[in-house]
Amino acid sequence: MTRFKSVFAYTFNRMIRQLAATFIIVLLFLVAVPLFFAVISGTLSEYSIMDAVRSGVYPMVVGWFLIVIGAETYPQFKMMIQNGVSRLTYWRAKVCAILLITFIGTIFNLVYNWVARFSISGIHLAYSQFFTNPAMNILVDFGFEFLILTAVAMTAMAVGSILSLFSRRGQFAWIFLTPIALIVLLIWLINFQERAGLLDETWIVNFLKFLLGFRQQFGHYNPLVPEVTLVIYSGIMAAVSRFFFGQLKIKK
Amino acid sequence: MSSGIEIQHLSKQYEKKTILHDINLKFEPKTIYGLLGRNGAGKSTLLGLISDRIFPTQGRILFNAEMIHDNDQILGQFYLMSEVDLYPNRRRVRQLFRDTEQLYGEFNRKYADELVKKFGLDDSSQYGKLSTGYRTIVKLIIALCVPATYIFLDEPVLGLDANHRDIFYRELVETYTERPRTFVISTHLIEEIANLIEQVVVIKSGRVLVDDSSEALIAESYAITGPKNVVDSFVSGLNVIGSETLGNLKAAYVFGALDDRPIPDVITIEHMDLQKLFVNLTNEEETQNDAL
Amino acid sequence: MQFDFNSTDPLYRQVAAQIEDAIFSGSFSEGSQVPSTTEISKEFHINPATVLKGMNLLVDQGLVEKRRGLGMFVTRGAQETIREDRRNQFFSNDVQKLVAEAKQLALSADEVLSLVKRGYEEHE
Repeated sequence: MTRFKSVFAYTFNRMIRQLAATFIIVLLFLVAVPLFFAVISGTLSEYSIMDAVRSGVYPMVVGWFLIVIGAETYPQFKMMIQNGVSRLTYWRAKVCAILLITFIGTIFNLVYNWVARFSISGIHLAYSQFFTNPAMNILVDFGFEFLILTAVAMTAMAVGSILSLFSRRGQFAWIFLTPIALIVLLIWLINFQERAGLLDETWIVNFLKFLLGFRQQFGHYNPLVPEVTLVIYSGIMAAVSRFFFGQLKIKK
Repeated sequence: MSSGIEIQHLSKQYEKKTILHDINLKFEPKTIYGLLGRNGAGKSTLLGLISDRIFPTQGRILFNAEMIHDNDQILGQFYLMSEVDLYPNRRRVRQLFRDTEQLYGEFNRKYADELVKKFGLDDSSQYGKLSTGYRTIVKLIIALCVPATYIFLDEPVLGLDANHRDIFYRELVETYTERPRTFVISTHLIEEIANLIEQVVVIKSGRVLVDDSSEALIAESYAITGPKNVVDSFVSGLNVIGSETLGNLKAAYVFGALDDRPIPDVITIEHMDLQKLFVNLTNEEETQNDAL
Repeated sequence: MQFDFNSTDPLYRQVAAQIEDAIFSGSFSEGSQVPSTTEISKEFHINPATVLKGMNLLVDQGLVEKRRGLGMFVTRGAQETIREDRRNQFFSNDVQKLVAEAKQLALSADEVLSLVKRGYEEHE
């Protein structure tokens, strides 16, 4: 248990520092690039630093960051095994650190969206009438943001751990071939559905509607169903990554 | 209950090539081992298996009768310093020390600082920017400062000059006396560690050839020199592992007891040193070329 | 102290022999401290257990003694003990060998004695 604590602390510290660095880089970029163009085009008077601060990019940064940090498996495994940390402990520490980062990122995103941008997400609109209590709605919003980010991060972890089993060349092949395969599959599915009429009130459509918590009235959708769905999905992805973390070994 | 590391029927294959074949070994606590073998004999693979970096094809490795695989408590007792660099290149040496302290739970920072000075290492530079020799030194320092009780050193003096090698051997003895633990040293420079190691394990083509104390080994290895025909008849029936001839003079190398056969006056019998024994044991041919 | 290791003897005996030599030659005088096991180990890259074994051999022979918390010291009369020991060995090894060789060469005891005397004079 003490081992877990120290590995978790190490992993979390590393992540939070990298997240901070990422934010700083993005902020500098958003300040510098418009400024550069403003100077070149001679429209410096129209330049406002607040545009950089209020850019809609930041909430996305959390998502990108979770994808990158979630997928990165082998480099940290090297450090872990060199320091006598088991695969299981590495996995546990990483999942916990990512959940904590996700939690922090969620709070940041919500607060940022409310304070800096006064924006409300589409997701929020679809489900906002289900509960009449505004406090519950905040909780629902938080839950969606947190669970979507978690699902993204866990997917990245699962994919990253699978990729880590391959050589660098194998990884490139998978990264390039998988999207192509998915697109081909999607085209085929669309064609198939047009012929078979799959979306016309079949069980698939009903099931999809159920997963979204669909109700007759937009805005009254049940948010708990999709949230539970996200939890289950994240759990499956975590289990997949757990399995492949167990297969990690030092490559020749 | 056995204490220490116990390797049982361990085999490792890569693709279809057998690297290790049915290895059975024990590593006892607080002992300095020499793990000897020629290039490609399987030493690094064995050390990789013991530290759970790779998986065996067959067999198992126990520590105090528990499986080592994915066991934090056991793996935290081990440290493998290998030729492969597992540390992030962009990390500074000082940060690596801190990381190690956090992940191992303990780290002799004072001793590390001392060693940094002795080796003339710049601990503010990035790990990846160091020369091979200094990267070896960083890994050595970490190996000597972690709280582990089983330290595996795979080619510990790679890229070190004579001066740095001397510092390392001195410090090894120093730290070993202060805190006795097991060191398993795999190296090509046998002469330099011959007097340091208590136990010798020789691996040849993935099999354990010798596993004994160095004292017993040397006591059982003989160089028999004299006129060719006398030496030949004297060593007939003995385990001759190599020979050299110069004109009519012959030196036969024997490994194993000499039994009670009478020793002719014209031959001299001496013990081989570890290096010579190793060279003869691991030579691919049955006897060496008859030329000096 | 200068160690010169050869491979014919077990290492711990060589360690003991080297220290004994140093005591006999007076490099380590009686009552003075012998370098510690660790010092010798470090200096010559020898396993501490081996050095200790050699040191214990000297303790058994009464040449060095352990003073608790201080280290190993050369005992009083150590030099004399070594001299006595070596004289005995001189007879059992060298003299016996000399006589055997002399007999093969058909030299009488008197002839050998006079040769020994000549050796003494030439060695001056």
